[in-house]
Amino acid sequence: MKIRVKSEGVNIFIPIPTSLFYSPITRPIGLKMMNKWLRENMEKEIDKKDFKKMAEALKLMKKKYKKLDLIEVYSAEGDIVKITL
Amino acid sequence: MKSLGRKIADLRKDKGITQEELAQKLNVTAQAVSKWENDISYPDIMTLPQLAKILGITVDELFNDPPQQEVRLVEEKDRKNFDDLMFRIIVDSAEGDKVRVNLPMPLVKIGLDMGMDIPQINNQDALKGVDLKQILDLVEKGVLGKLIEVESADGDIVEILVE
Repeated sequence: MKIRVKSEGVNIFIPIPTSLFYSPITRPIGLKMMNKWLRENMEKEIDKKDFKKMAEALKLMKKKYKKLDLIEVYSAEGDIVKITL
Repeated sequence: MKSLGRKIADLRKDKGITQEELAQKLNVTAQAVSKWENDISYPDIMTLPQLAKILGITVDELFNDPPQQEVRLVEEKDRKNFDDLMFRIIVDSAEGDKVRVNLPMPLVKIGLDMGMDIPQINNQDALKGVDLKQILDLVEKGVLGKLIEVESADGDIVEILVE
């Protein structure tokens, strides 16, 4: 998964190693990161089982829809933010 | 109306081909395709027929918007597999900002199981009353197309399509 931000004079590329979510050894790190974000933004948490389900679906979708733009934001000022699978 | 670049990008993604593959077929560089898709430059007029053919439309359709994707009931025999459907949220704000969310159905279903709803996916207050589960039930029964169109008090237009 990749996050790209293009703005005037700024070009940011953030690769998110989703493969970390697939392995049972590294998955807890991803779960911890996700729960931190969910608590801060949605006052929610997900459990291990749901996270595993999500990671597996993500892996399948990544195979099926290579480089799919999950989210694209085009601001009126010309800034672009894209989250690609 | 969608820009030409946006249309090329959407059709290319629907066909499942990369910018590099499209460039190779048209004998241009991947950078040229990227520029078309970002509306920085436009394809050469001689390239248009081949481009339209690869994207599975006519040159005329490339420049004109297709009829709106209205809601429709698809017969069971003509239905796509539920897991092959794409859930799209299109937001055009009054200020000119545009948001496009493209989620494969299996991810939407998992999000729903995890207790997420549409405003959390897209942070749009205009959709607070929309029941995602109800939408998925409709889709499972074969209702596809533009399922929701909301105009907020601020003038933002939000559409939900399932194709």
